[in-house]
Amino acid sequence: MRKAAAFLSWIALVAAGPVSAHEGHQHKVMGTVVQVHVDPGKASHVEVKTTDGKTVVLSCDDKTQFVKGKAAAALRDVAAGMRVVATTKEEGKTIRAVEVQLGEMDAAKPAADHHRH
Amino acid sequence: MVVLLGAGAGLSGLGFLASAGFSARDEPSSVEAFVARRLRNFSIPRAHRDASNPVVLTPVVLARAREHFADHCASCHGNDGRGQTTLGRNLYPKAPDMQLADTQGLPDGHLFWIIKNGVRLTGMPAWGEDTPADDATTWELVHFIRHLPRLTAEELAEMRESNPRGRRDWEAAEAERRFLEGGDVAPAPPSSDAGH
Repeated sequence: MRKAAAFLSWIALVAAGPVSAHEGHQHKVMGTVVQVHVDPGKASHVEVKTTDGKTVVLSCDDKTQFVKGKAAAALRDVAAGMRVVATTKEEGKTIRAVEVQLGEMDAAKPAADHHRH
Repeated sequence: MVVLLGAGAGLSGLGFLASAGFSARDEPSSVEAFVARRLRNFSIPRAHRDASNPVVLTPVVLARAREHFADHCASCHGNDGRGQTTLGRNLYPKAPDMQLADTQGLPDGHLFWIIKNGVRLTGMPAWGEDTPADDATTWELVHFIRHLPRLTAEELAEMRESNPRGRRDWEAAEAERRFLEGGDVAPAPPSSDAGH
């Protein structure tokens, strides 16, 4: 009886639902913050110049985790010139930051540039 | 007549699925989730569902379970138990957000049984052997699952050190640490796919 129930449930489990879009893999972005755009009520953005010279715009929302060392941090702790390592996920054309590790200020970079809209 | 109509509808459905295909990336429908949950509950003997945790919760027990979870469970469930990992998001059904009531509302005995025996037709395997020592480890994990909604950033940072990693991952993590501390960037930065 249990085997029959398990088999019927298996049929129900596998034989349903259309194929959906492919969700992106997670990637690492390592670089220095160029600008922080804070837009209350909407996703904020952190512009990062990566170690290989590219510019990447990270979208941050309330699910994005910020960490400084072993302590929790927040978007307000991010400043231009700060070194960061972000774990990101591509969602369409958007690069969403899942976690951002905050590091030291890069000596070669200008001081903070925090934009609020 | 009704049987014929039902059979026709069933064959049409199978024909559609054969042409369209289906994937583990999809979100299970509410019907599937309902059936799967009932089947999972059905798999747990009544006598075990309401068993209480025999392991006394202490800071040492919690620390040991936290490390064990980071090493054995976090690949799918994530260190925070939310299931937001490459494996967890692409299983069918998805790894659950264990901080939510669907998991936190389950009795201790229920959680214990799921860890020890796994859940058929899902990605959840059966863990440990049927020995008192392994059972004690499983009960410790039940304590940790209860603790998930109150995890601190410090605990999460400690868990990252216990996550299983290969040599390349260790090197990448070391390069990231040096970079964050202001050190020089390695010639080949770890911009690799973190999802594999």
